Amino acid sequence: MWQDVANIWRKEMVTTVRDRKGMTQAILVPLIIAVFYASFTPLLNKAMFERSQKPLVIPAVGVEYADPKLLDTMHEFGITLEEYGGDLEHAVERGDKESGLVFEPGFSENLADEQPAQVRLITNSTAGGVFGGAFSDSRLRLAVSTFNQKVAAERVVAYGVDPSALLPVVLETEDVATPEQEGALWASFYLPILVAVVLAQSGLFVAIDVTAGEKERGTLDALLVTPASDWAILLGKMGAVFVTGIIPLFLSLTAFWVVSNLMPSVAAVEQGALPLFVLWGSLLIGIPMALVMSVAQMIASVRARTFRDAQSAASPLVFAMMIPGFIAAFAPPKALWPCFIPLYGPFAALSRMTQAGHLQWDSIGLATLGSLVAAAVLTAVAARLFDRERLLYSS
Amino acid sequence: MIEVRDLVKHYGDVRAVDGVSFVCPNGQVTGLLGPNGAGKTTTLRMICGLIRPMRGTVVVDGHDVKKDPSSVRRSLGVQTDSAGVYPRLTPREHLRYYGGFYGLSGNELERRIDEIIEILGMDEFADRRAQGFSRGQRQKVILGRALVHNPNNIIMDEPTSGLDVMAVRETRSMIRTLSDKGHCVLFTTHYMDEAARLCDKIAIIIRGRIAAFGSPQQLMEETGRNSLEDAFVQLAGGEEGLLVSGHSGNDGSNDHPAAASGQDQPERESVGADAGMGRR
Ligand SMILES: Nc1ncnc2c1ncn2[C@@H]1O[C@H](COP(=O)(O)OP(=O)(O)OP(=O)(O)O)[C@@H](O)[C@H]1O
Ligand SMILES: [Mg+2]
Repeated sequence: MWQDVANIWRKEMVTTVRDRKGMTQAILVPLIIAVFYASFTPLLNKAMFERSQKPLVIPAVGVEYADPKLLDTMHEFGITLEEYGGDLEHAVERGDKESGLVFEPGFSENLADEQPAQVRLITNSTAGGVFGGAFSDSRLRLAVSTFNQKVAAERVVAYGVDPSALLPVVLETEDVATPEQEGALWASFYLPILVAVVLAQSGLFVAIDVTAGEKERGTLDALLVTPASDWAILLGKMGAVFVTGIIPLFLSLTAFWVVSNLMPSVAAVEQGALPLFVLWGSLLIGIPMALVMSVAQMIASVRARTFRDAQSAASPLVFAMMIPGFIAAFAPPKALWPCFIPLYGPFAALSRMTQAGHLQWDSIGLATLGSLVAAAVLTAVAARLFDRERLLYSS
Repeated sequence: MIEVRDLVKHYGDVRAVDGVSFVCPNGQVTGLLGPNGAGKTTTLRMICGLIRPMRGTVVVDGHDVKKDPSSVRRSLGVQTDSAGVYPRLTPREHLRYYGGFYGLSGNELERRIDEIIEILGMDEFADRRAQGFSRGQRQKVILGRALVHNPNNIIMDEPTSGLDVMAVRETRSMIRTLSDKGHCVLFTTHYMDEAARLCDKIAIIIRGRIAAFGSPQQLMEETGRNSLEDAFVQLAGGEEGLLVSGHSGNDGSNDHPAAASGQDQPERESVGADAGMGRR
C-alpha cells in the first residue's frame, strides 16, 4: 500500500516539476504577492514621512499684516508663506492651489491687544486626490497651536501667574508595546491575507492535473487497472498536492519576512523589524491548513472531466479560504477557542500570536487540531468520491 | 485463464452487457468481436474490476474479481482503449511507474524495462518525453505498460486500431508470440481478417449478448458463409446492413480495413454497416 502511495506521489511530483509553465506560475505569483504586501506599508509610511518633512509653501494674502513671531514659529515647522496676488479662494476652488491663508488688516494689532486675531485658512478637501497632496493641514494647526501656547504663557507670566495654571490636566502616555509586538503589527494584518491567498491557489493546478488531467489525457483507465488500491491512489495524489501547496507557502512567507526586514531601514520610519517568530508561526499554522486545502481541492476536482470544469468547481474554495483570512485580519480575535474552528482557526492563532509578540503553543496546537479534524473528515469524503467505478463514469 | 460467467451490466435502459459467458484458456488467443456499442469495452472493464457487474462472476487464474480485485489486476496486463500517455514522462519512466505497482523494483525492473523496449522496438524514443508522440509510439508505450510485469493474462481493447501497416503486423505477431508462450490473450477488434488469422476462439457479442462462440472455422460453418466477415454480418444484423455497407459477400477474404473501400466513409447508423470497417 505505502509503496504504491510513494510510487504515485513520486510520479506526480516529477510531472509537476517538469511542468515549467505551471511551476513558474505556482512559485512566481505567491512571491510577487508576498513582496507586494511586505513593501506596501513601509513604502507608504516612507512616503508619508517624507511628505511631513518637506518644506511647505502656503500662498497667503495679506502677509504684511501677519505677526513676525507667528511667521517664525511657522518657519520652525517648515512652513513658508508666499504672497499671492490674485483671487486665492477661487484658485483653491479650481485646484490651482491646494490651500491658502488670508490675514485681515489689524491682525498684529489685535494680537498685541490680546484680542482674538483671526486668520482664514482656505482649503479644498478634495485637493491632491485620495491620499492628499502636498498640503499638510495638521502641520499648520500644530504650528498655530504651538504659537498660541507660547503667547499664552508669556501673557500669564506678565500677569504674574504660573504658566502651569494653563495646563489643568496633563496626559502622559506610556507605550508598553514590545519591539516584537511593534514589528509584528503590520504582519498581523497582511499575513492572514497572504497565507489565504497563497494557499487558495497554490496546490490547485496540481490537484486538477492529477484528477481531471488524467481523464483529459486518457491515462486514468491505465492507472485504475493496476493493483493499487483506491486509497493508495488517493493518498499518493493528495500528497503531491499537499507538497506543492506548502512550497509556495514557505517561499512566500520567507520572502515576506526578508522584504519586511529590508524595508524599514530604507523608510527611516520607526517600525520594529519583523520578528522571526512570525515566520515560524505562519508556517506552523499554514502547513495543517495546506493539508485541509489539498483535500478540499482534490474533492472539488475529482469529479470534473476537464481542467475547465475543475477550475470552476474549485473556485468557491478561494472564498472559503479568503473570507476567514480577511475576518481575522480586520477583527483579530482575543479568545483561544476560535483557534479550533477549521479554516478560520489558524488565522485566529496567527492574529493572536502577532498581537502577543511571541509564539503561542496553545494557539498553534488548537489550530492544528482543528485542521487535522477537518482534513480527516474531508479525506473520508474524498475517499467516498474516489471510487474506481465512479471515477470511470466521470471520465 | 479468464472465466466469465453470466455477466450483466445495465445503464438505465441500456443493456450494455446482458448475460455474457465465455472462457479464455491459457495459450490461446480469444477475440471479442461486435459492432460499436455491443458491450465489448464494458465486458473488459468488468473483467478488470473497474466496473462492478450487476450479476455474474469473473475468475482470473482462480481469483474472483468481486472478492479479490487486487489479485485479479495483478495477474492481468491491460491495454485500455484510451491511448493516453503522460506527456512529461519518457516511455522508460512510464514503464518504471507501472512496474512499481506490481512489486517490481531495482535491477529486476530495469532489466524487464530494457527487455520490453527491445521487444517493442522503442529504443529510438525510450528516453524522450512523450509529448507529441505519434499514435503508434503511444500505442507501444501502452502495450509496454500492459506487459511490464509479465502478466499471465493479457487484455487488449482494439490494439491495432489507428496503427500503420508495419505496427499492425508487429502487434499481431506480438499477440501470437504471447499466446505461443502460454499466455492467455483476450482482445477486441473490428478487423475481421485480423480475428480470422489470430484467434483460436472468437466470441461474437451483439447487443450485450454472446451471439456465437467458437473457432473462426466453426463460425463460418455454423452460418454457412465462407468468410468470417460474412458470418459476422449475418450474426450482427443480416443482409440489410451488408447492403448498406457496400460490401458484397462474394469472396471477402481480403478484408483488412486499409484495403477495404469503406474505410473512409462516415459512420453508419446501421449495426451491420459498421462491421468490417475501421474505427469510428
Ligand atoms: N458510463 C456509461 N453510461 C451509460 N451508458 C454506457 C456507459 N458506458 C457504456 N455505455 C453504453 O453501453 C453500451 C456498450 O458500450 P461499450 O463501450 O461496451 O461498447 P463497445 O462494444 O466497446 O463499442 P465500441 O466498438 O464502439 O468500442 C453502449 O450502448 C454504451 O453507450
Ligand atoms: Mg469499446
